[in-house]
Amino acid sequence: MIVAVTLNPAMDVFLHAQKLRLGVLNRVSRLSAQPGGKGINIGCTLHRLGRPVATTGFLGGPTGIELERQLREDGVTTNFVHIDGETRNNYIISDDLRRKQTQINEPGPLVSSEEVERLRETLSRLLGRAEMLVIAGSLPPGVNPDCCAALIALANERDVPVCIDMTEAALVPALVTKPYLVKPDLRTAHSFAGKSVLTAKSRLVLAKTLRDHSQVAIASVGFDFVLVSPEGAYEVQLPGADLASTVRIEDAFLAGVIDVLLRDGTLGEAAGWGMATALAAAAVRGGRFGSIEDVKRNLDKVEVSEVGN
Amino acid sequence: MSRDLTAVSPETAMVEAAKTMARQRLEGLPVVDEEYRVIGFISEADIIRSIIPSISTGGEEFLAPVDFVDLARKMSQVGERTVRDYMNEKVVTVTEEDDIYRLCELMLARGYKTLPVVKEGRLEGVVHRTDVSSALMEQREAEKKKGE
Repeated sequence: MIVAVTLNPAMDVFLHAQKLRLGVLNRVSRLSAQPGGKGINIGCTLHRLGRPVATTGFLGGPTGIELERQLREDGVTTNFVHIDGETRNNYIISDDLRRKQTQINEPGPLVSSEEVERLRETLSRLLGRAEMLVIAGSLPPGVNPDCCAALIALANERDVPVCIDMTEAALVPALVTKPYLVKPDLRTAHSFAGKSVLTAKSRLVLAKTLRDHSQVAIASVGFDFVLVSPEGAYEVQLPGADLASTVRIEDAFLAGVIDVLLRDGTLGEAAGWGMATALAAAAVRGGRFGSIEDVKRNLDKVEVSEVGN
Repeated sequence: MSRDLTAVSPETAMVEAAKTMARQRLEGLPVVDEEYRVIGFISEADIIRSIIPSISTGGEEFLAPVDFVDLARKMSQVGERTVRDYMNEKVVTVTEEDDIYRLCELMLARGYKTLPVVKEGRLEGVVHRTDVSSALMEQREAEKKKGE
């Protein structure tokens, strides 16, 4: 079972407007809501790829209860710590005319130290049946980056490999735990350790640097990914395609990579399957594709290049 | 069946168990060990009984007269004690292979509202009475459609 931790889950609310205009009233033509947050997105994708997944983290209030209900309805196992605060909403506004998506994220509820301790106890139990731990997404108020490192240390005590996809502030303290896979979340900060990552070369340099602290490192900006491991270095880009949705592409990519690495596939295969999974997510509004068949159909659209190591 | 692994350990404080049930609107929780093996069950009724004693007479239970000052003191005491002191160790579990009639028998005849679902003794999820009633209604609708 893969345990996917989302410390700051969100109900992703998808709003569709014909033409979004600032400063005036806009009416939406369609809306829907789905569980979100990086760990949940990665977990749900792995579930669709046929992997047993248990999701955990902090949930609160009626939004948290509804989020959990939807996950269970989808067949995903849950074991969340319910807190006093209310789970946040994230708003993904699609301008259908201009074919652009704008995302507005709430910060999330305040989490107390007692609630963090309850998660520690829950995770400790879950790790007894875990083949891998994925910890991904933002930190809610009240949870400091050292907390992540402490949760990862629990996994290390049980020899459970860890994949981290978090912003620099949370990721750097966790590097000392030597995680299996590291992927910095560069969606809002196109730099890491003060250095720009806007070019393919700079992302390769970043991935190689992170590889000093992990087995596998992935760096991406937009939908261009570079992957590095002792095996080598590979680059893969999202093929030019008519995308129904741009949200969750990164999370779907990482899920596909993890799926291959868990069956001892090569890094090149992981890059290809990751991109095929990302394409399946991009083809569906909301990013939740139907099944593994949707991924297999994309394999011949993907081109993976080996780069100098 | 609900694939939810929410559970408490025997060392969980009763106040925490009560808060978990309240926040997640649950009527009871499996009690598990470090390996998720189900070793007991703690229900809302167990919590209430731990605070307000009852008198059994003529096969029925009645609440004993309550001193509210004493009640507050008792609530504070019980809250700090652990689930181990109040859990029911004779826990009834089911497996994914058990059919709906077995669940109905346990829930109606024996009054269980929540049953842990286990595989080789380890918790896999729970089934609530509402899950069973929904499944029966769905079966009824399916039979009705077949007949049309």
